[in-house]
Amino acid sequence: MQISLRMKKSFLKILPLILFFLMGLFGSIVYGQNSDNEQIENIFSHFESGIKTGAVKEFSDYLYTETYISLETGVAGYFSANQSFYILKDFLSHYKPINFKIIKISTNNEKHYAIGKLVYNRSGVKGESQVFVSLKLESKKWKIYQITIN
Amino acid sequence: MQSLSKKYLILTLLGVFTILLIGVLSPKIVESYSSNWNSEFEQIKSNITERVSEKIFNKEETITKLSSEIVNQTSERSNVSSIEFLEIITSNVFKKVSINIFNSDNKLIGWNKDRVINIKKLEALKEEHSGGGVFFLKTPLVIYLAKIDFSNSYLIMSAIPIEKRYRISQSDFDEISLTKELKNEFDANITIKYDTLENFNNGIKIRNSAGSQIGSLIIANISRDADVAKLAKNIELIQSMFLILTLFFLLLWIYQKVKNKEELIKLSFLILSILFLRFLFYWLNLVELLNFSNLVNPIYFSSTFGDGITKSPLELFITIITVLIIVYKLYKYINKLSKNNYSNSKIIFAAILFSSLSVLLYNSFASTVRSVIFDSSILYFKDAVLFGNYQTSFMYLNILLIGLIAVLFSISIITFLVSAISKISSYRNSINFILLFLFVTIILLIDEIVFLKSSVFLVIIYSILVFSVTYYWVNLRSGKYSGILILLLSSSILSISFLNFFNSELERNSLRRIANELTRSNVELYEYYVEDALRVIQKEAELFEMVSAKETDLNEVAFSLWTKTELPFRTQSSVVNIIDVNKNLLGSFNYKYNEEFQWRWGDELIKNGHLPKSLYDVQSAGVKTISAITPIINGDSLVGYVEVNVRHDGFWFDFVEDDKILSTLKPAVEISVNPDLLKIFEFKNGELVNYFTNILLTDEEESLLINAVLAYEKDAWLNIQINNENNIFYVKNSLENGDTKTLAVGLSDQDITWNLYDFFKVFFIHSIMILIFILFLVFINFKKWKDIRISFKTKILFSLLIVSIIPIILLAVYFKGISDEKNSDAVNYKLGKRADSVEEYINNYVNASTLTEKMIFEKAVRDLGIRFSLFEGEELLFSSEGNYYLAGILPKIISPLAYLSLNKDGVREVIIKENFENISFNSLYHRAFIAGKEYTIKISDVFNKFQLPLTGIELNVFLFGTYSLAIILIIILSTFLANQISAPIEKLTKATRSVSHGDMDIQIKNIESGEIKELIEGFNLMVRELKKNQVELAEVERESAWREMAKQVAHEIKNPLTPMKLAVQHLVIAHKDKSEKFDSIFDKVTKTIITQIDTLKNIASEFSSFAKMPSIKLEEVDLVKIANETIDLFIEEKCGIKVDASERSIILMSDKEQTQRMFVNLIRNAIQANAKEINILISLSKEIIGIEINDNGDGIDKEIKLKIFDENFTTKESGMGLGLTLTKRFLNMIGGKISVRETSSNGTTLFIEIENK
Repeated sequence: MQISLRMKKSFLKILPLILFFLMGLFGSIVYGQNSDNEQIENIFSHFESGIKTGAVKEFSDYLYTETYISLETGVAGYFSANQSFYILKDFLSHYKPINFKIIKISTNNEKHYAIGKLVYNRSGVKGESQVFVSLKLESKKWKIYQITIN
Repeated sequence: MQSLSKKYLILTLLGVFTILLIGVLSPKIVESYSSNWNSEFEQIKSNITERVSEKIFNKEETITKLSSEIVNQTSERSNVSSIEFLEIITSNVFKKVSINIFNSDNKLIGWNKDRVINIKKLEALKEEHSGGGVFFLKTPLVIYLAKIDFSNSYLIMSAIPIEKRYRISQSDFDEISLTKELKNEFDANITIKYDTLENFNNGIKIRNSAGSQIGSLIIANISRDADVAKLAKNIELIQSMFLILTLFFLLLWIYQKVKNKEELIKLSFLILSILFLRFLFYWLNLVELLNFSNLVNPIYFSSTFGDGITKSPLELFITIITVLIIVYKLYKYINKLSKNNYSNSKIIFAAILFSSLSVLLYNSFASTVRSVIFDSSILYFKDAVLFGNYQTSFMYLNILLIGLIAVLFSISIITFLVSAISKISSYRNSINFILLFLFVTIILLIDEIVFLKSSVFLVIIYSILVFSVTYYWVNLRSGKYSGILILLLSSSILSISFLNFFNSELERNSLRRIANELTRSNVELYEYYVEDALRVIQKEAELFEMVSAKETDLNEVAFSLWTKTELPFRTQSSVVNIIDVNKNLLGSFNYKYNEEFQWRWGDELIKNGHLPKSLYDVQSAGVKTISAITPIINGDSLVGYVEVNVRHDGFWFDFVEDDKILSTLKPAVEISVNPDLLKIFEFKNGELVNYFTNILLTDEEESLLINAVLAYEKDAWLNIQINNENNIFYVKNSLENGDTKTLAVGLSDQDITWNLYDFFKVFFIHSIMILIFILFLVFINFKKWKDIRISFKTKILFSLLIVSIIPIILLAVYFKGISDEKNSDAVNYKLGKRADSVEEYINNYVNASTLTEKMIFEKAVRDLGIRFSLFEGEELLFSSEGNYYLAGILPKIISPLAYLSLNKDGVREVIIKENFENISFNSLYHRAFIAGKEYTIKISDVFNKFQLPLTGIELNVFLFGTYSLAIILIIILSTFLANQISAPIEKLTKATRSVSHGDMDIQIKNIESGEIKELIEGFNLMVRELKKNQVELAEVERESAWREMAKQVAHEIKNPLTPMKLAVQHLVIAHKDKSEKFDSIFDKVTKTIITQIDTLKNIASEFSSFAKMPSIKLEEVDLVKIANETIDLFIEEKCGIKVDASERSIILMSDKEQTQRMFVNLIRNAIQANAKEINILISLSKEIIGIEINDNGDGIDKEIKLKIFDENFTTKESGMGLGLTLTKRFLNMIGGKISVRETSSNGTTLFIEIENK
């Protein structure tokens, strides 16, 4: 009993520490999640403004080492970040964006994605495409892994 | 030179003028184009219409000609059998056209490909088009230009395909599209309506030759602003091109001005100019002029290096050429630098600098090759075919040039370092070379081990190769072309070695790519594809018409719709259903979606009649079906619906397709390894649920994969021993509907490592490129063709090559023929055995079972594992590949060739080569008797896999690899042997040439045996004798000359002496006689004596002139050429002699023979002073031509330095000491002088300067 009492006292002494540690842990998890979400939203936001203005550079830092790209032109496959940059740049120089808006973002499970609508001008003719973009973890950071513009 | 400078200036001014002119004219052109745009557009429309008419007319002509051919052959016969028709129309003449022949009962009795029209449609068309003109025949999959003709009671329908209405994997698709052809040609938005049902506002009528309208052409009104902007952009690009050209000429003009300045200034100017032009080319985006080409397509290569100067294969090429020119100029400059003398501290500094440069060069080279592999979609070793696409070949060229840059720059660095070291080292050059090799290799290895950039093995290959080439280049190079050949071949070997290494890294990465691809899809993405499919289907304008007309095969329509969406390429399993308003299925195409059609949309929707797209999810054990439906409407009229269903299964495994036809519909992800070698395992909550391999894992191995320690990204790389073989695995974990999915993709180490066959595939392509380049060099030097002689060595080499390569090629062809024949026999046998089994199985069941025929056939497929089709007569009765036949991919009618063989020739089995698009396969047609009735069983190798001793691809791989290696070995050995055999003859030839130029000191070292030994001994003896005789002859001649001269002198002197003697005697007599006329006699006599003394003086002068050097014959001579010709005379000497000139040719007025003699004298002196290396540097400046001759001989003693040009001075035991005196005297005569610039125990430098008049 004495031992257990001593243990209880000791426990009470270290309880604040434990609580503090748990709070810290919980906080960091919450913060981690928040920071994850912020990061994801940030990527989608850069992607949106990049596509809208035709400036791939805005989101090229977020491209995965091997990004899956599928475009209305028939281009489809896995491309290195370097290739992806110029393939998208090339595409947007022919399909000049008039407007681009992300209409749905999903960050619920492991597979984060967004769907958007691109309005473009191609040789003076207006057209419309659906855009699907999804993310994947690479070196502990979320990266754009898949871009489909149909 | 001045005229060249003037030419560049004129070109520059012309360029400026053109730019200004374009600048002035372009706004006017654009404005005029803009204001006349309507008429311009009308002109374009008219051109397009003309082209359409032309194309239609050409095809109409072909159809009419072929159709008439059939009519001609059959019109005189009232009764033609099906066999007779088939015999006619299966001939090659009718290959381009699909022909269907119907009898008076509308029964198809003749066909050469497929049935192009059904009876319902035939009835309608017969009425409409019996007039004979061509018309468009629309089928769900193909639109034809067709014609109906009659021969007696037979109807002949001939049709040429105009447009395919489906798409499959691009590489296998034999695309036919008139619309696309026109779009590509005119860059306009064109639509062709292949009927006359509608009147289109903007439509232009398409007519046949009879004048009837058969269709309409619609050219969309393109935006004027966009079109005008396009023109303005093109003009701007042309202006930019002129700007670059102008600047190019301007820089050339300035270069002519700085040409005589310091070498460093010249080089800096040149490099800056090249870089400036490259930058401008990139900045003005001039590659856009080639926008139509795949060479500017980033798919084939693009890197962000230098902000885009390598963003496409073409940009990479331009950058490589820029760097190559700079490296070449640096090579020349460094080469000159290495000949100068520097202080030790400078040498050490330069050695450190250049060693660092070599590390930098290695790393840059490795990174570039790595980028070429990783930043490109080309699979360099998988796609390596000689006649592959041009963009791949272009990248092979880039790779070769990257290697060339590395090798050339390495040669510069190594040459400089060796030369620098030799100045402070007492070792021989070869020892210095080895020491430097070890030093540089160690530095590179340290850099590699510390930073882990590539591999230790690569470093060693790199070092050995660049040092060997440098050694060859500096010491052994014999001819211009052989030097270039070795340089290019070594560049190829170096670049392919690196490419192969980085490719193995890419192969490892492809494990991750496969894992990513197998986990890429999710339900949300499929929803997106379904929505997209609906959008595509809704745009199908003719769908309403086809469904309402009910005369078309709607299964084929469903297939056509399916191929136009993303469903075939991106989803696991899908189906497109065409449904009528009463919820009945009219047509369907399913891809691995084996579920009966069921209406799931309720009644409300039918009432609504105007359905929005909708999603209907079915959840069962992690499998989700995404469905959507869209109405087929026209205005308010609803004729049916199109339903799209896609199934997503998180644990569904879809990797390699079962057959080639399916793989064209759903192409796999491109990876650099052979997919068949992969080992893929999929686990659900730790249980193996799917696999793609024939290897079974033990529990322990499975556990290693399941329990792999994962990184933050939930993936891991593992090495696992399976069957005593190391395998690398990429393991990835993910969550699928709450279950843990573990995907492991592995490959054996053996399948990743370097492959000699891969190496030779690319090396072979490089060799062809190198050969073309060498031939090009020979061609552009055609002016020198007359100097080209086919040497003894070349003759031996060609003889050896012909003797050895021709049999090898014949053997390869023979071996391939035999193997193809064996394979063909094996295919026949295996297909035949299967057909027998099917026949026997069905017969057994038909007689003893209550099952229906169809059930028995299906059971046979399941039980025997044989995929087959069954024909009753010519019509298809059953097929295990029913889907393909329903979709119209394969003809529902029996092959006409098979029909002919079975029915006319009476054979029981026949093999026919068939094809779908660009895929060929073998089909065996087997006459079978089932329950007493005759059927035809068809078994194709495309659906039935069996092992052949050696497949076509394996055989090609084997033949190509083995025989390429053999040919390369033969070439190397033949070259070696030809060199060995011809070397003594070549030595003798060169020595003979030296003798003919007066060099009697030459002796050939004799290490030969047999007749060649005797020949060389004879030659050496002959030269020695010649020299001896020459000396003796010279002695005799000299004595004789002296004698003759003495005689002449005596004679000439005697002549004036006599009158002088007489005169003096006369004077003495007059003096003795004290003659009164003494004074006048005295005057006369003294005059006579003086005259005779003058005569004596003249004689003396004449003899003096006679003793002078022979006169020189001035003419234009090329100093560089003479120097090079002279050093060839010393080829046998153990001394390296090099000529380095600032210009390719330096012309001066001199005596050719004496100039050569001067060089011979100077070189011979250096050799006799024990020089092992002699460098002759020839430079040209405005005022003088300088010739510097430096050697590393014993040098000249200080005491005699001033006397060496004196007459009769010599330090040699033999010789008269006239060499340098004569040289000096000759130089004086042509306005030149010679001096000793420097001399020490390390060597001597003589300098000659000649006025540049």
